[in-house]
Amino acid sequence: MTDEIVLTLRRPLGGTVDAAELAPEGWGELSGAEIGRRGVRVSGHGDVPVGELFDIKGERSIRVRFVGDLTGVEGLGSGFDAGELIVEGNAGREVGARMRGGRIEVRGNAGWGAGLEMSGGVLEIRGTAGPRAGGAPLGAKRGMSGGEIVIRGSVGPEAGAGMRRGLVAVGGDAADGAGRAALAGTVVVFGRTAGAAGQWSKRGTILALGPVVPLATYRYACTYRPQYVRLLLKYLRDRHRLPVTPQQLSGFYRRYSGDLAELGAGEILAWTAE
Amino acid sequence: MANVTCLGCGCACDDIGVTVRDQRIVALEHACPLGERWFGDGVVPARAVVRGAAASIENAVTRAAELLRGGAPALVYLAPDLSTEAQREAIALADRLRARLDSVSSDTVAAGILAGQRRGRATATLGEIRNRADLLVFWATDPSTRYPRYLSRYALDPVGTHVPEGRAGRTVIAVDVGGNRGPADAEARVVLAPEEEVAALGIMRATVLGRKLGGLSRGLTAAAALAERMSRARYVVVVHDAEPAPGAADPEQANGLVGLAQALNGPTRCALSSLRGGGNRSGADVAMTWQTGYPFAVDFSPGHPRYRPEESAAMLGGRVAVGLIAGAVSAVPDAVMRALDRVPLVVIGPRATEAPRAVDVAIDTAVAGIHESGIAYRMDDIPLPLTGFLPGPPAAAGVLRAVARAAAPEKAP
Amino acid sequence: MTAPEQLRIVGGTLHDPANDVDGEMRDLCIENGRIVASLPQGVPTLDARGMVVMPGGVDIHSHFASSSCNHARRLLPEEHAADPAARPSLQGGEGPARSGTGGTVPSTFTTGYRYAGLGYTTAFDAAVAPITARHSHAELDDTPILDAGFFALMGNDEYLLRQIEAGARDRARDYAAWLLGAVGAYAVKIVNPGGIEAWKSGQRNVAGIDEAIAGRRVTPRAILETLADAVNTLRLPHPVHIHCNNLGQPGNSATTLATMEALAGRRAHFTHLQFHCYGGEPGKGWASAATKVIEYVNSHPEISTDVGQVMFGPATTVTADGPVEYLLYASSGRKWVNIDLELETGCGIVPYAYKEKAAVSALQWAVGLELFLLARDPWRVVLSTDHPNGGSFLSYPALIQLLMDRTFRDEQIKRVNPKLLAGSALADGLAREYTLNEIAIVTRAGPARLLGLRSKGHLGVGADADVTIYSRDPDIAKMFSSPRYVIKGGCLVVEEGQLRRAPAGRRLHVRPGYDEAVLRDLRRHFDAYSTISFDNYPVRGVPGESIGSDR
Repeated sequence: MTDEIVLTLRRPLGGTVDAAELAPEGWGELSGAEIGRRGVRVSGHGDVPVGELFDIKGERSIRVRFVGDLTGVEGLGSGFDAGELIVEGNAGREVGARMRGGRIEVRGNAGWGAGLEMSGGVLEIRGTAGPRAGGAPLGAKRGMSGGEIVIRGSVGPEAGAGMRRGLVAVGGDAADGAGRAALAGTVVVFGRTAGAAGQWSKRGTILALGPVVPLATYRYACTYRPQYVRLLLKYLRDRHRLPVTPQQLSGFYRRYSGDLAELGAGEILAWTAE
Repeated sequence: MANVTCLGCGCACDDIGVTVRDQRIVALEHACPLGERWFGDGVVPARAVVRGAAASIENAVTRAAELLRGGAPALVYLAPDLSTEAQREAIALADRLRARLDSVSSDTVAAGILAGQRRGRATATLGEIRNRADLLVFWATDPSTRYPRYLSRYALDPVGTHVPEGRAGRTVIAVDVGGNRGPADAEARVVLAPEEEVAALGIMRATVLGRKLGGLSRGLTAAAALAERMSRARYVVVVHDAEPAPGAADPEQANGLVGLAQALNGPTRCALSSLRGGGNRSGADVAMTWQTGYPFAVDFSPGHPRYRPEESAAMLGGRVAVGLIAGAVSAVPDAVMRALDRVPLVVIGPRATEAPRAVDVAIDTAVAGIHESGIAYRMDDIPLPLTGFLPGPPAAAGVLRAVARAAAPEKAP
Repeated sequence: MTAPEQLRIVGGTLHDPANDVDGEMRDLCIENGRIVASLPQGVPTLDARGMVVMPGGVDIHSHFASSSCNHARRLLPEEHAADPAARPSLQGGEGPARSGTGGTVPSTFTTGYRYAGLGYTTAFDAAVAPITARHSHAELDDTPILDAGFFALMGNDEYLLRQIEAGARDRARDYAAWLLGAVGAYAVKIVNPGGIEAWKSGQRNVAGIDEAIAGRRVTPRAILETLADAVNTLRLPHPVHIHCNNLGQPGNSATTLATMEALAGRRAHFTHLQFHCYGGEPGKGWASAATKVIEYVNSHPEISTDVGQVMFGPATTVTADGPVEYLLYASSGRKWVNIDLELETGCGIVPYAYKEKAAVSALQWAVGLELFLLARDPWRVVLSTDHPNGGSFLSYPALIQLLMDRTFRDEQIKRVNPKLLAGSALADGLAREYTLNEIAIVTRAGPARLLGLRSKGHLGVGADADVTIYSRDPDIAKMFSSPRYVIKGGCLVVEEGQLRRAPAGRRLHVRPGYDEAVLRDLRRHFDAYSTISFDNYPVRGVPGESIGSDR
């Protein structure tokens, strides 16, 4: 048993690697050699042992660290349910998809669908994330149903699309359609929230700390200081070290309710500096 | 020949009369300009070409199989003008090759299909529109150019069981969005700026659900009034072009249209009619769905179908190493051809040997509905019979089956 | 054929209720796809000692090969993603195995493999809009192993309604006969008679069998009588297959009983009866009315039913009954598909889940079990879940366990929401346990007989060699979910619990005679109102021989 298992990419990946079946959460019982024999599917090459792609150090640990540019690796940490998985580099599409617990940290950028349909645990992305972080697969109704996604950079379109519970916190800007068709859940955006936020959503909260222009089907309700926003922001500051200002903690928020084209039980809370 | 089915557009009119002389079509009855172009004289090339040189079909099939079976990531792409029998064979081949599988739908109707998967949809077959519609709202489309007989044969002019007056029993409203205008002779029009379109659909749905919204722009106010009017009609049909030029519409337009049509079934009845192009495009969605569970953008690489709508064929440049286009290569979107730019390409379909770029193997096949019998689907997913009435090159279904046999013997990897 | 053309199944315990064989140890001889009396020594044998041998299962009511199923498939990408189906490793010679996806509405190849894997070898799609029949045939071409057919939806057909309005019931019968043959269907199906036409016309629905349909001089009663009489006069192998009005509504047992009484003395099959046996009143609560309805069935030998059991878990409701699906959509907020199909019928789809803790789900579950347990004649009460409406066909083994094992059943009863079960027979305790023979009746012998399939559902000489062999297991659900061997038409499709071969199935359809005078009138009707040419409407080249109309 070692403190961690470190997998260092031997050479740049030629094609895409499907890592959805890799299940690193179960490596607490495996030796380095056993891990090395586990297969991933490499496009055009079929199943390839992990050991051919990565140099593996350590064994029998629930802390796993990947080192290298894993932009071409898809589905890393799919269904992750315990332990810690760190990617020192970029991760490809669907990192942490359907994760249920534990913690995944991507120190670079993440591709399409980070934390897609996740139900628990924490997914932290230090760089930027692509479209549909915490969202539903295209054509599906339900996105993430629990857990937390923290993106320190910006996020692509449709963050939290179809989400049903849980939290997506974005340190930078959120592109179009954040929280689109959400059933519930919370999206917090520290930067600019682009258009169509909360479109077609039934319930849920979009907390916009930067500029936001609500859709025509969101109706202004009031300006107030919601207690739970204060609690949420304190949590994000203390737990995830996001840059919450005192003004945001004590400030007023304009509440817009919508989407009135749906249930209308959702809200956009826009921080007002004064 | 009477009652021939035309695949010139998704209307799939099955009342075409065809006169054949000396194995050529010399006259057509009831055909619109698109139909006349689609039938032509019925003469198509019947060659097989390997790397620019004429080859026997057998050799071309063997060469195609060699290219496809190498294990390199393949794309099997369903272009228009295939019978559903041929589409089924192409899907089977993709399954055996563990290939990517996609069709023209990913570049045209994807947004509508995805909206329909998220929400469902409220629709009707063309005959029910004919028999029941008393209010037709044309959303940024005038079908007369791209779907020439839609109005005269299905939606507007004919007498229906519940519309004995025909055209006089129906009201037409045009919604003009920017340059995309509804029919010129509409009884009323609503004019929207393109950036207002999706908002208007949201406002209309909210209105139908009984919610009042104030402070709206002129366009949105008119949209809300239209929604009130639609709620009072007996049977509303909203008509939109489901295959606009790529990038022409906000993808959320489809979501808005689907949602509006569903909501209108509270106060009244409503169907959304999605206009589709020709060559049995809907058939590709239908057959892929029954064989794989997904209507387009399938990835067989895990050994089973996986849905990848966010990675359509046009986005697979650099990720596939060999391509097979089944169907009319001339109708393949440019973006898909670009994605296949630098990889070996096999084309099996009508006029394959006239492909716009050099291909490794090209095998001319029959045009389904002219030289080949089978079935094809109308834009509303109603299956219609195709009857081959001219001699021609071999049917695509048989060629694709032969390739599949040669490319992947019974024991798959 | 890679399977041996002759096979002796040795030493199994046979349950062949159609031939009065209840658990006797007998050898079974198969030659050229049929059961034969004997075979010479030395033919290949299959050791079934200690195992239970039954005819292949027959599903009388399922939805798996239709345009509406395909719309449901399209609607469910998340279900498919969660249940990928790799291609089975078949032995060579039967064509390539295909991958697919599962969930409540699997892809076609997967449907065929999974039915066969369950020991079912014959199935009928119970609701096909005739205008989409071509599509069903194409799907069935891609659904391996199963001998299969479909029922044609007629209870809201515009031409038929017009004939009934005009009092021309003979012409209505000629039309029904023509339509069955034209589209290659097996039986006449009525769904919510008149109610779909009402939905399409803005009336929303009809409330009872004597309500005028969309202001016309025609009622559900007239539709029911006309088609029941037509089917019986035509001597079709299966009686008219009826989905009553007011499906899923509290208090609908009154409608169900009225429908049964309206057809008194006539052969008729009432499908997914569970969905039609509720007491109470709309808006005022629900109760079980299973006892009352099943007592009527018990005392009327001319009628038969399948239960349409609800099983807890995911389901997809897919039906021609458009107005019901609208109500389910409005109350559940789930995805919803509605398709109005010209001149014939409708289509509605809502994905759904039955939950133990939901009072109405629990009631529906209990009502189904009450029907099973209070039925006196198992030959007329068929096992079904109305797949995928009450649950997937894959839940049949769990249902069989509920029927065979009272202890297990009583444990389940304790887990469900009891709110609406007060006074229900199930809550009061029903001791009955189905025997293996009764299971053989409700899953094969009974449905085959009701379908008029004389070479199915039994193992007598001349029967199709469709045989399912189970290893005994105290876990009944496990025993029935994974038969040790399945033989279809003499071909060993499942060996040691693994699917090994997937031959194409046969198509089952009828082609009754009719007075051709109807054709001229029909052509006029098509010319006036249809968008398809009359000559293009019939499906050409339906594979397989049509089944005789004699019983």
